[in-house]
Amino acid sequence: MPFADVVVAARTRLPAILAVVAGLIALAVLPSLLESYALFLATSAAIATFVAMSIGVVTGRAGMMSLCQLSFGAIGAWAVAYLNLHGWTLATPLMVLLGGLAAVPVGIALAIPALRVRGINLAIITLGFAAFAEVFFSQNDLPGTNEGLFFPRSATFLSDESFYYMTCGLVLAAMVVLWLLGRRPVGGSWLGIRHSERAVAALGVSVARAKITSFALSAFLAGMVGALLVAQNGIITVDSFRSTQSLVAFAVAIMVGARYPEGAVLAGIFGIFVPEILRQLGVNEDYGNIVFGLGMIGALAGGAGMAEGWRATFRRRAAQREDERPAAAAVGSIAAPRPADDARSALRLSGLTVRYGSITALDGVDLEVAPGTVHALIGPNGAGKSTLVDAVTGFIAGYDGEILLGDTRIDRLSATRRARAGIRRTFQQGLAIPTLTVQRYIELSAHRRMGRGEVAALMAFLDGPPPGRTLADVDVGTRRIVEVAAGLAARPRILLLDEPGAGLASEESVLLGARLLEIPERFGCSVLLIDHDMELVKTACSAITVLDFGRVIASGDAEEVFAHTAVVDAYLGAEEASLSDA
Amino acid sequence: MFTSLKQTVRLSYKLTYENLRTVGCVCQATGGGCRRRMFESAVSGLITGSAGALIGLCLVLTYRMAGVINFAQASFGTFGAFTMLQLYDAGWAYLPAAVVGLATGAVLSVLLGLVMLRFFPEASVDTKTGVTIGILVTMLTAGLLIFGNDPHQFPAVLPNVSVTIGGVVVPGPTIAGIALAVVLAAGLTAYLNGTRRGTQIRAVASRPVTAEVLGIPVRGLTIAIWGAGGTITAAAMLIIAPSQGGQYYQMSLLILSGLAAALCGLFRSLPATVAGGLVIGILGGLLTESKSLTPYADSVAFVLILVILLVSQRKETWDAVR
Repeated sequence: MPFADVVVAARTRLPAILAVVAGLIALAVLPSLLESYALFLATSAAIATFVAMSIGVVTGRAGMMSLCQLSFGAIGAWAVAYLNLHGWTLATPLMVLLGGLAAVPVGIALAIPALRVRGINLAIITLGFAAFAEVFFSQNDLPGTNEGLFFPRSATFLSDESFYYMTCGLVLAAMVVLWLLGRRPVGGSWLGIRHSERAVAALGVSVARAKITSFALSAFLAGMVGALLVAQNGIITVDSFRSTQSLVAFAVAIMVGARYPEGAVLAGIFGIFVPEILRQLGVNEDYGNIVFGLGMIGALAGGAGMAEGWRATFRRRAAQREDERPAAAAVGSIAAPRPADDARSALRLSGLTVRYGSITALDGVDLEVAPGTVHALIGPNGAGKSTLVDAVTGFIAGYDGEILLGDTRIDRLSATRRARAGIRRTFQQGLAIPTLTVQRYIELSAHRRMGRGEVAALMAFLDGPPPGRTLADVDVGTRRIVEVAAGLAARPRILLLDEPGAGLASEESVLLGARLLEIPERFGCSVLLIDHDMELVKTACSAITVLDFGRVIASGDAEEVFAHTAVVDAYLGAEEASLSDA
Repeated sequence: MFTSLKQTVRLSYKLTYENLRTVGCVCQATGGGCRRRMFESAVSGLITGSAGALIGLCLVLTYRMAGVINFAQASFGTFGAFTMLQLYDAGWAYLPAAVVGLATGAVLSVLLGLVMLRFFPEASVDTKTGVTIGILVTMLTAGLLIFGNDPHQFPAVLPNVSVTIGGVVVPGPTIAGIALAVVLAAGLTAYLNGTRRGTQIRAVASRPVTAEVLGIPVRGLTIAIWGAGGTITAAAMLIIAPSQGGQYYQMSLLILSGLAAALCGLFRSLPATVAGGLVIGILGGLLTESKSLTPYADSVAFVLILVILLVSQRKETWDAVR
């Protein structure tokens, strides 16, 4: 990274860096300032941070509503109490990790319904599970509770101060891990499935894996809470893990935006100190829950939790500053093209037929995209163009006919596997993941780490936004361009573009056409382009297939097809007809 | 860990064993005593079942009309019922106190409806339902602060009525609950399909914008449905409170039975919702045959929710059609 960039990056991040340093110092000196009760509360707040982080992963990042986080906590507590009771006393931090691990299988078990059941339905299932777990743990007391046993911490962490440091250390470690995961493909896939599962699968990333990993990690973090509470209090009852607690934790997490570390910290502080302040004021501490319930509604009305709101403001300011800097990236630094192979065609469909009930959306379509070409697929609305893309990329469960990528049949592969095999696509409605930066999104698609220079070069090639920009801050037309770039970065064998030019101004559209023309040579990939913009099609494509009512009505060289007046008159309309004469 | 596993195994074994034993009873049909006991257990669950059915009805109505699954539905009704109890204990007669209780449920529900219309008119189902989770947290807390979670002694509905079927006494509240659920399901279905106003309501439910363009009073009808939902749920709670032990928290969590019932009707059919609610109640009642399974009577709803959703959603490979 050039020195100037480092300086700018440091300057834009300075407030954040200062805040983190100040926070760490505060954490370190806190025990010497606090009396024992206040230290107990501070430790409790640190423990509560874990609950928020666990919701931040499964709900905040992956968008799955889970209302049973404290049930995971109960499992963690149960496991630790059981181990203690049977003489398996290990160092406290290890016990805490084991508590987290104990909850993981249940987290994975809940991820299985989540593969098909989404949104509120999943919320109903998780609330049901929370109620069931509550009954289960009231019937089966935590080991040792009945005997009134007290489980002491291991010697190193016996003092309240050392336990406080241990808890804070675990919180920081969890935050670093979450931050690192956020930069990895798996973290990107969590944010992705929240936005669109189809978009994630189209990047060659497994949706099931994203769901299972996020639920597992979330259960792990929540399980640690139970273990930490046992370590903190020596004894614990099911009262700490009732469904109400899960609901309240959920409300707090939504209110603060627990996806982000500062949100999780805030959730920990609110969760402990709001009730405490109320108690000090002589008010029933439970009124705090009303604050959280209403605060959550406020966050939903505003569309963002507190931390999310701050981040968005901060990001927009940074984006403004960035705009003032000249874009400096040479197109030349794009990675070498995919090596050519000697397959007869890049993509070949024979007899592709898709039926929805009694409607035949595609009727025996044959189509061949030659290697190294840009092939257009045109036709009126409802002709079956997008259905064709869906079928080819694996998003339609049952179809008849054969699809060959190069010389290989891919009919039995899932959407994710097809993407990995070298078929990439964009979506008509534009499904680039808005919560990711351009850089992360491109990397998620490419399945590899990429230099900032390489991404910048790709963006320069397609006239896209700077790599550090978050996609939510980019207009919809430009997001489609980023989607195209993401497809190219994966260096696929064929790229299916579903109306990439929609939403672009006409001069941008002309540039896009010129760039599409260059794609085969530069990236070693063929293109199947769907667009209504005949100018774009004429600029970029050497071959054209015309589809109507699910049938191919013309196919061949661009000029040949455009000369086919029946096609032009019937399906492209008068305006394009005059254009083709020109 | 292993103890828990063993307990789980023992639990499922017991479940199977108990069921086999009950089936065996029926088959033998000896003195009829065992069969009668089973019948009694089933009938005892009907009261909870009728509450689940009524809550389910309201959930379906507000879901169709306002595009939201109201997690706070049961807590509104519970709050209304406890308001009634306060007045009754203060010396009011049953009927006026009950009317105020029903009105309280209606007002809470209408308030939420207004919040939805005012602040979340364009929001997704998920967001709106998230709001009701926030309301549920608020209502649980408020209720516990005001009424506490001690068991309360509620006056019974129709204390002097009972019917004897096959030697088993079906008490008045159960009759009231089932009758209300069945009459409402049948009546509402007939009303929605057979009257002009009903057609308007269905129009609002399926195409609110089109309905508004056609001059149908969308706002008014939606609010009316919210109000009806609150009233019906409060009535359900008044009916079951005496037998449920009158605990605020437990009654609020009956939302799960309601959700399971509504899922039985796939959030569409009112008769199927009522049938689902009653079946859940019967299954829960049968569980009380076994002492170790009695606490899990309410978990029948969870199991049913899981099964219905897994079956109905099994083909939903993707989050969106396109």
